[in-house]
Amino acid sequence: MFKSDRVAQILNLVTAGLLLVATAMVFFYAPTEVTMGAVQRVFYFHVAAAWVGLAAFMVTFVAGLVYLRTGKHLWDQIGHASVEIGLVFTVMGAASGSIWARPAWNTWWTWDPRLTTYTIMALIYVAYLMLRQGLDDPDRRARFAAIYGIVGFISVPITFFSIRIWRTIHPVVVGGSGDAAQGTFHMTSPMLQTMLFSVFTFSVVYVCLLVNRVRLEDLAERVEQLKVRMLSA
Amino acid sequence: MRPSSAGEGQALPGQPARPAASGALAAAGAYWRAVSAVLWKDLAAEFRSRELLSAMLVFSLLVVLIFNFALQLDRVARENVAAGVLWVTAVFSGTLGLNRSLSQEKDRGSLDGLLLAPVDRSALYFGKMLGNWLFMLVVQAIILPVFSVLYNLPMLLPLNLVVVLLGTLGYAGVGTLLASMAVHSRSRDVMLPILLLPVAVPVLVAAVQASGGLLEQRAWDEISQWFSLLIGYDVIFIAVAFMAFDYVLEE
Amino acid sequence: MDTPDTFNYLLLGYAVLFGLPFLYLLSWWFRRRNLQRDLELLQTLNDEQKK
Repeated sequence: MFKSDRVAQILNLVTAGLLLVATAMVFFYAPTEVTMGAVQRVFYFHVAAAWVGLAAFMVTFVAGLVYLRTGKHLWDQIGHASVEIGLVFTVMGAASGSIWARPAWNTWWTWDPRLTTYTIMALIYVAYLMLRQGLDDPDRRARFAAIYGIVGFISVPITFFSIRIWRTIHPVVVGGSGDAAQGTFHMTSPMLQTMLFSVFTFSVVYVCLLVNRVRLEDLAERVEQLKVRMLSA
Repeated sequence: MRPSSAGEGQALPGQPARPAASGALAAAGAYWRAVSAVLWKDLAAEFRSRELLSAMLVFSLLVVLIFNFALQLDRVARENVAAGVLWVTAVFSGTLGLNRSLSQEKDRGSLDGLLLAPVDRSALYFGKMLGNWLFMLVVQAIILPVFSVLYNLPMLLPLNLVVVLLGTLGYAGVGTLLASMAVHSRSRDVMLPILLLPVAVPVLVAAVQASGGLLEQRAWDEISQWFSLLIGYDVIFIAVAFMAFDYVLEE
Repeated sequence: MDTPDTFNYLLLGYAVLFGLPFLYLLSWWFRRRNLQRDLELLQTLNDEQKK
């Protein structure tokens, strides 16, 4: 799946198509929300980006476990690629959320549990990339990164619960609406369809990016190996 | 290629599995001897040089003083932020100690010697972790009375001592694992806090809230959840570190 | 209740949502280009060495 040019090409095309449809749905299919106005349309891709951010780090967690068990190089590549992509989506989610929060909550930032946890989570994975950068031996780098990916991911829910006790004002989208939540809105079915389709699309975008990132890593490693061989020759 | 996973228990490699409980008991005894050997080695080395403890201690005192100026603390403000200052002090001096403890090990190559010993490698983790925990506790034992006097607050409440025990345990537990990785990186002195602090946020939140609640004499109902959180964190992360440590040492 | 005009925020939001991944993909493009240059250089060097 990761090595074939053909699979990558098809995946790229499918992803581009889905992204076009999702964008069209956000702007033309979903109705304008009454109390917040146009900015509510940010919500669809915001939720999708935040979801992919979390899912990507979960993939790194699983890849870390599998790497430690099997020692297969591909799982190290997947873990690394997934963190990079996850960080991009986490920043996208945080930035778009912030832009939505300005008109909805009248502030760019609150110390709400989900926001705070997301920020701390992003810092964990920045640290992950720095750790990788600081280690020269590839085998050790892979092992340490796997361990940190596991430890970091386990800490995320605990961090969330520790901050949770400070009351949340983040709207609860699925399930009952929190009484303290501002900016909650009633979702009509076109809205729900748009959100679910956005989440699905972003998941495919994630897989597409992951495949391409691993292929880029393969290229980098080939160049590196060639360099070493040239120097030793 | 891989050694047996750390979770597989404490039987010594190369020792024939003996039936009956006496075998398990002997293995447990050997395991504990390995842990205490590592711990004892650290304590003896520290007793001779005293460089780790003195550095942590002076650093802690400096942090306490600096905060007093930086936050322009008057009496009311001091009471409000005391728990936060206490834990920031503990966390920063703890980072200092963890870094020194593991980088000494790497520089002297003494860990390589220990690796040759026929004991389960997780015994090394527990030995190092207990040592780091003990150092943090010693620093706290000196800082807490000083803090009580300087800030005029009852820091030595028995329950607050429990918070200190639990909080430093969790911090040393996950810190020992991360420090053992950080010392291998190129920028090892700055690596540990970057790795450790975001993962240790729950300990910090829970410990600050628990200590703060105790100092403000809140009801037990409000504070107890922070104790549960501290215990949960300690159990989870020491278990994870125990299982992961094997892979850190693998060469 | 009137619906507030928040169209500018919407534009800003999607500028970020498309801009960030665009920058990320741009970084890929640069990385790939540099790697391919290195690869070509190494291959020519390799060929010269053989001669």
